[in-house]
Amino acid sequence: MSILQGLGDALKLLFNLDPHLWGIVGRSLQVSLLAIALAACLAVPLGAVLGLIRENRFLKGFIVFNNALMGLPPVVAGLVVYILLSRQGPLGSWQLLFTVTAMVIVQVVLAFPIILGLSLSAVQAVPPGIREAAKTLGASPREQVLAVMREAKGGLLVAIAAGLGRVLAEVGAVMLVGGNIAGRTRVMTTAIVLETRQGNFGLAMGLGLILILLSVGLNMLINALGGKGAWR
Amino acid sequence: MKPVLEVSGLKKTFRESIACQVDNLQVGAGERLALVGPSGAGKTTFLRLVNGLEQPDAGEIFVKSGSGKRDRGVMVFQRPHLFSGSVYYNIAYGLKLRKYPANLVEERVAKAAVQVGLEHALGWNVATLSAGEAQRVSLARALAVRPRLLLLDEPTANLDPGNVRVIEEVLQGLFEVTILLVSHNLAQARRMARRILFFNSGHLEIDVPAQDFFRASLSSAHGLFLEGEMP
Repeated sequence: MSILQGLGDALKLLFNLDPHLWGIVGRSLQVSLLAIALAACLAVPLGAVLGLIRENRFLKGFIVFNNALMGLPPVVAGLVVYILLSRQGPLGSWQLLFTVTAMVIVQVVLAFPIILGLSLSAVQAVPPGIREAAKTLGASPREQVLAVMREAKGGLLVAIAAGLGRVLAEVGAVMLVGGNIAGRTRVMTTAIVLETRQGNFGLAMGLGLILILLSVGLNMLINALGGKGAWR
Repeated sequence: MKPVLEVSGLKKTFRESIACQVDNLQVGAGERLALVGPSGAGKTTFLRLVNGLEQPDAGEIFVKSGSGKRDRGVMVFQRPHLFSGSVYYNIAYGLKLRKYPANLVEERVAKAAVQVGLEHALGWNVATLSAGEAQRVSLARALAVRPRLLLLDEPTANLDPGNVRVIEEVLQGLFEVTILLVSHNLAQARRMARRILFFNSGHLEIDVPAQDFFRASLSSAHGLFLEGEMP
């Protein structure tokens, strides 16, 4: 099959609203958006608070450790989560292996250090005077943190976008813990691998196109939020 | 005169050297004080201690500047440190923290903007302001919350004479506000203050009426400072 033929088939599937293809897209979005929301809820506030601690040797050590985790190979993260959730593992009784929940967990593990590290850097880049200006005008400690986060908004959105890029494109970890089960845990990346191996280039290319468009679209949305000052 | 600020036994050290030591100080309502002295003498540290931006190692500071926990005087820094966004957002910031109703916020913002001559610029993005305009916004956002104690840390340093004049005129008109002004400009200190605090090596060394401060040498360090022999 030529590339052009594959592309033609892909477009047909897209515009005919092929339920199989769009089902996989929906599941991908469900898993990745839920994972990124959870990771951001945990990592952004933590990054903001740690970013406000200017001088601390323990923090420096933590940053080095977190930076190492930012480059964690996804398949290793998948392996660790797999072992934890497997029947003999410490969390085996939860029976989460090969479920969407397991895929969300592993994506949170992958996105968390990225969002944390970039959030921390974004907050550290805000001049200390901003927090003091808020404080002298009567801001409580929580309001001071919010004032700093508002100034770091662009960097925080980049952090979330980077995390989203990581989890949307991830294949090895979700394959391990999700099992790529049709109709249950099959997402775009794992489906692309499977369909390519089976010679279904049309479906594989269609999914690839959607993956690229989603990635670009979500990043544009995040940038637009930053540019329009959504928190003002 | 009822004191707005009372300080006793105040001491702050940085790396085992005294950054600021003030044994006793009382400042009454509506007084205007200039804090002068060589660089690193403890003037800014004193303002930061009063404002709660630094914690003292010893001593007590009582600020009776208004209502509630939010009012420990308001500080205007040498650099404006404006929040990104509009001039309006910056001036309204402290008022919104206090959860004032929207119409009162608008009224106070408008009034503060008029005070500093920026009523035409409320919708401007602060990124487009000149240094002088930015400092005037910084002053306006402090004035908007109507503090009884205003702490000014070299607010006109590096500004052109026109902006210095505007800021000084605004400050001269604040009759009910107690002002502590750190300045390296002795002419400005003489124009603005009725009382001078002279800091040297972290210590509050001299506390006298302005006319006495400029009349004669009160100590060897003071003499050297007036002659420009201390940086």
